[in-house]
Amino acid sequence: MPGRFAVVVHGEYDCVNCFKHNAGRSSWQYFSTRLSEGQLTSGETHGPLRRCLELIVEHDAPDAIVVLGTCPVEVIGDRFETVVEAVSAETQVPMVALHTSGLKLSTQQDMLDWCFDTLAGIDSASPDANNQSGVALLGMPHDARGTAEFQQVLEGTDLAFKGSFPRGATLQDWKNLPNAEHVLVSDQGMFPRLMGRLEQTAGKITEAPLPYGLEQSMAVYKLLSTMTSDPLNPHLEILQKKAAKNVSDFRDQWSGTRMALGIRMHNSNQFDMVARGGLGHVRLFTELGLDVTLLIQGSPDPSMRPVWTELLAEHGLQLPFDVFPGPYAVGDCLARGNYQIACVADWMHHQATDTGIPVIFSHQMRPWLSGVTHNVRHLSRKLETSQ
Amino acid sequence: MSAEELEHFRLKSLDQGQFTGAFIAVHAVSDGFLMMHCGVGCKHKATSQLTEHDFGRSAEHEGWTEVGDAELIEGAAHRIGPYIRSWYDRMQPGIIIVNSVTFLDLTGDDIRDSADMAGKSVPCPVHFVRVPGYEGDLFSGYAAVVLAVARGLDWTQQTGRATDVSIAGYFFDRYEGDNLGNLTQLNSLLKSIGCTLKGTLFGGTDYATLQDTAQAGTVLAFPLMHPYMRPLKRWTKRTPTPTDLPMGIEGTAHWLRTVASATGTNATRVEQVIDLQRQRTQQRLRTSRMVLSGLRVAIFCDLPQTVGLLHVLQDLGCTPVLIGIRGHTLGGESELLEAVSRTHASLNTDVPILENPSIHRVREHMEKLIQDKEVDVLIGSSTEINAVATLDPEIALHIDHGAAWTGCGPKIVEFGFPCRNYHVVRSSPTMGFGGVLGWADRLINAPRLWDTWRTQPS
Repeated sequence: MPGRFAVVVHGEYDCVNCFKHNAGRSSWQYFSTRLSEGQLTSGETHGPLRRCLELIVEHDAPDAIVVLGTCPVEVIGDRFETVVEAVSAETQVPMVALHTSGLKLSTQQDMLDWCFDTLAGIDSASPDANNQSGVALLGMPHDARGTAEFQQVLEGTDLAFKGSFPRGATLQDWKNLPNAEHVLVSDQGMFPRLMGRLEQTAGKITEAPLPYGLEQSMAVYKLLSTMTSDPLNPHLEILQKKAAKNVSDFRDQWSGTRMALGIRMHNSNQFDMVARGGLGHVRLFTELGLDVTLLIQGSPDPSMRPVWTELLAEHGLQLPFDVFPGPYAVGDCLARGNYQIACVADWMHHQATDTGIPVIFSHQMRPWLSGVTHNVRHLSRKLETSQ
Repeated sequence: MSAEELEHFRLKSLDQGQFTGAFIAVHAVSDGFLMMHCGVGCKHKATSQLTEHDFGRSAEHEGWTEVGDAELIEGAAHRIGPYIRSWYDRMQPGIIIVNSVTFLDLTGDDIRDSADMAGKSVPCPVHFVRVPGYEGDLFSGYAAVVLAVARGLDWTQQTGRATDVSIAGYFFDRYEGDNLGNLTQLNSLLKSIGCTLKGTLFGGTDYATLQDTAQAGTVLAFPLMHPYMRPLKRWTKRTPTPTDLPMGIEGTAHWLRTVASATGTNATRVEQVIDLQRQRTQQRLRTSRMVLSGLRVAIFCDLPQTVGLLHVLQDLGCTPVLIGIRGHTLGGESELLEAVSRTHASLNTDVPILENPSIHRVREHMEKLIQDKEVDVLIGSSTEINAVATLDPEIALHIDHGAAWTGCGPKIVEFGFPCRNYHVVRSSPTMGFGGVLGWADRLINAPRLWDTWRTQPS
């Protein structure tokens, strides 16, 4: 996230390794209180935190500071939020203290909701001076081309683009989010806290599918058209026709191809991979005529099958599925299915590629209509080269 | 002074701790398994970090004891046994390493004993390593596993000939061509002076193959193990020979002489090998040096590799202009200068040396060097490259890099842990005489930091 902010991980320094340091634009704005064994065992943890916060304010002057508590400070009962509140009051810099230890086992959705709600709650800005009606995307996949497409479709309407949250948003965008007139959200149920906040402050919140593939992207645009009295930009029609032709051409050649689609493999904060039960890609593949079988990471106990069936039905899906207990077993699962292509999470590439089945990774699929061409080409190339 | 104080709190260029290092070591044993006795967040220290670094093998050989607040309150060490047994049944590993983390250590549970007891219920060895997150770094975590495995091998068998050599502390971080190339180089270097490589801790082999390591008469301790010579001697029942990394022509020559001295190899033969290889390598470098000579290079590496790179840069006619020592357990500036002197590397006294710098500091120094047009190449991990890439490219747009260039900013050579974009399919060493040519290759073909697709400066 771009912006003048700081993140302090309050704990021992290895706790910062729950983040990747080699991605994104803000790794240099991260800090650790670097608590020693002595400080942890004697409970002398407030001093380092206070000093760290004071120095950050003095040297970096951020717009906001987020302090994350870790397991060791949780275990010793450190109420570090008192220090954070005090330093924030003294320095007038907004600061948020979060008890984010790994001891509170919760779902990925809970964690993301909490994080987003906190960001949206930092010192909310006043509404735009020009008061132009706008739309924010929340929990939607973000890539530069797709966002540019969305903005182009808005051109000529009375709607302004208020940002794509979380990935395309700056700290300032987050501050503005509670004032958005329209919010298009991928999965309302995934963000109960944030929805609660926005329901009180923002305008209309509309749930929309994840814009993967032609059908789902057009469903989002259809919802968008209801938010404005102006017609959407005519370029949309051109994009739609192009995407439809790509889908049709692909179906002509590859319809009926057996595909394994792995879900529930993402132990991470990739919200678009976990939103809507992690099933956001399914319709992208089924509209291409692929014969999709879901590979579900979970308990392979036969008594669980009705549970999975019910969960899929909740998302309007009636697809065959196979269950594997963990990444180590995904190879066997793929091998017994006689699949012609597989889509799995990238971190189990070794197991998947060992089967000899052509593999694509979930994150390689691109959103929006402009992504359809890329996806079709990528899939075609994979299938062609495997023949 | 307060800026220095804040530097202490900033995220370091290498803040990956012992936990990550321990998992890299387990990953380096092809049938190794890490039983993580930890909280949910700690899992990312292992899987996420290594997944994008290693294209050769995915990181699924790990399990977690699923400790939450309830388990913490009721005591969690008893979970280790059942988890080890069920994971053994699923994965059938050759060896299991159990680690714990600080918040569980704080409870006073006897985790080592629980691991030892559990080890008696499965057919493979089970070792506990302690990797608290308030001390050590990536390398000490790796070394802890090397020591644990070394301790478990049978070193009591008849000692082999002195020329039968094993290596302790080779940093095998991925199943890719760089490590394949390095291990091939080490093998052939040893062979060229009449030695035989019996085993490497670690080199991507399975645990059964590691048993051969104990057949060696000579144990070479790579720099990673230098802080642990006493336990290494104790577990291997041999006096290990400390060596630097064989990088660059003179660095490799120095390494060969050290090995020859430890193994009693004929010194004349060794010098003949060195002369021949030096001549061949320099001959092949002639054209490359025309392109590379004079390049000014910023290095962000761990200490042993920094020393090695100083040799390489000397061979290529390049000049170091900034050094950032990643990590802290292998030493700082004084240890670097000592190693430079010991291995006869070249380093001007006016080159700034940053000890365990923060990402912020790396970024700050690189910004100045780029603005002042004083750097042509950045060698570092994806962490440093990513941080410097967040600078405004405008600072480099005005720099004329010569005709027919694209992009702007320094050339970037991704090296070290973690790599994100650089992956190696073919055998491509960074060590040995062959490694020097590999480095020439990389520096010549390195892209620039910012891909502006400009063909001429404005």
